[in-house]
Amino acid sequence: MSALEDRLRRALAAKADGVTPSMLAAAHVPAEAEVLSLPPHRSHRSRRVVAIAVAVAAMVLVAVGAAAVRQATNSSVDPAHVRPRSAVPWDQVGPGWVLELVAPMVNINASHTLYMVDPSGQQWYRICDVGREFYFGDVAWSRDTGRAFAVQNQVNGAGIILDIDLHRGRLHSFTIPGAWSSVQPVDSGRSLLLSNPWTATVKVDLTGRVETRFPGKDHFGSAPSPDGTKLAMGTESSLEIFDLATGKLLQTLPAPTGYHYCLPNYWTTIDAAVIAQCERRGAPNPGRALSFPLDRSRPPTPLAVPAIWSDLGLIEGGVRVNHSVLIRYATRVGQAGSARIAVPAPLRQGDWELTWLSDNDFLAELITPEATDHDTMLKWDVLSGKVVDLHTNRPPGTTIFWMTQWQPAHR
Amino acid sequence: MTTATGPADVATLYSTHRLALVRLAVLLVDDLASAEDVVQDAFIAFHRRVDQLRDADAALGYLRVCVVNGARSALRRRQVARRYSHVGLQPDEAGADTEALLADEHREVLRALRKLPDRQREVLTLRYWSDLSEAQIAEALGISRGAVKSNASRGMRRLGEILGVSA
Repeated sequence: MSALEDRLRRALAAKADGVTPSMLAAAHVPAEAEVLSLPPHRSHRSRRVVAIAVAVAAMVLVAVGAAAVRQATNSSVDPAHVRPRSAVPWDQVGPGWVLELVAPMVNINASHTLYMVDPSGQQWYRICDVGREFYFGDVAWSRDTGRAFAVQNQVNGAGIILDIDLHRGRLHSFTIPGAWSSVQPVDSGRSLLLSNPWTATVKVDLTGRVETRFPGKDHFGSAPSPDGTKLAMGTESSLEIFDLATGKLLQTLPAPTGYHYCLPNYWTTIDAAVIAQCERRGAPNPGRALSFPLDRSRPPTPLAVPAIWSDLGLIEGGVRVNHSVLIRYATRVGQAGSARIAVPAPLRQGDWELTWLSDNDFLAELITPEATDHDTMLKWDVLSGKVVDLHTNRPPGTTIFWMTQWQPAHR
Repeated sequence: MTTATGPADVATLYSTHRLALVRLAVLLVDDLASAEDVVQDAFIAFHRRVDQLRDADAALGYLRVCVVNGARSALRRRQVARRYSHVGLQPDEAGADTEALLADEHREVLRALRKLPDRQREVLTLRYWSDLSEAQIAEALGISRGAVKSNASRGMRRLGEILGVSA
């Protein structure tokens, strides 16, 4: 253990040990008068919840309460919305369709299940179970809509790549040693790009044969070029452009002064640049989106930030909503961080994760990242800040683990 | 095989793990009142699921997930409130009530820890205080093991930069 690790461990222990049993609210059922007489700096809600928790746990009414909870949970979901794989209207699958990997709400060891969801968000099609006790890194959807690819990292260090035939619900898998955090189809779906920001990035064919190893490690994020010939990856201090076929390093674009850890998001053909999310040195967050011109005719420049985006926390400046830099359809921006926005009642404020931008740049799909009964997808107008569509249905007793929107673009 | 955890076990879990969970929550949200709220909410959520949990280990894992999620929600609510009110604590001021009696060297580390992004702070806290494995942290935070590793490495590196020492 390094000296810093030891220092951190001791500091955390010192602070945690400062909380003693006598400091906690009494673990008994307080009378209403006691609740009302709590000192103002302590939460009334806290005491009430203590009362509820302990009382409910201790009393015979548990059975009645549990039944009521089950009823309430299930009443918000109509199982009729979940249909079998054979009912998928394949001729309609395209823009707006989403692959959802869902996990049981509580039992983390139960199998995860893959669904296809129509653009309304109301109709779910159960494709297949994809395994249990694995840690999923990413799920990708092929351009022809017929296949999905998922990464499962096992405890023993074996990275299993799942190749899922969505038409038949069949799984084919192969193993690539290592823990992979992302998978994306390249070469028109003939190959897969696997990456782990701390170890390696490789391109493999669909049998698991390694075609290309990209030199170096500590790469953050990867974005293939629109023509499928190049690959941008970030490092601590720069963006690096590789030949996707050979793995040769073609170009290094240094991060400007004051920025580091740049994650490439997408390529723009309008001004031949790579848009990357960079962290600001010495600032905990947020990062900024910078445009790196490939011809190095000018230094990388931060994108303008429309006013509404200033409230987006980690993705501040993540996109530019104007006419000079367009967002590629369905560009995934979720990897850049969470959006912290206020949404109208009765939805909760905050806790929303921005996942996709629509083809007109103005609608974002968001999802709550938490495993609660309230997982909700919504479409949100990034200019007005208003919610324009809301999806609340999902399979009973599950939480959305990963969502991938179909991308028609360049892969 | 699913083994239902009975109501008596809720009380046992509450008495056994409440203090540790409140301590975890304090490390994540900085103030005791919020930490207690987070933990009580976790037990309420746990009670709603109690008949679906396999065993005590699964129960504790679920409670830990609830505490981390609850702490994150509390922090974000706080940040949204600050943003809209245009006032509020600066990062260095947070945690003053729970750290007043600590040695300077500990306060310095905790101040630096608060400057990290939420995810990195959560990973480091779960790793260096809760002593969880990468897999357990991934489970608690709902992220991949690769993300745990990267957040831990980047968090330590950033912590070292802030403190002016090598990670």
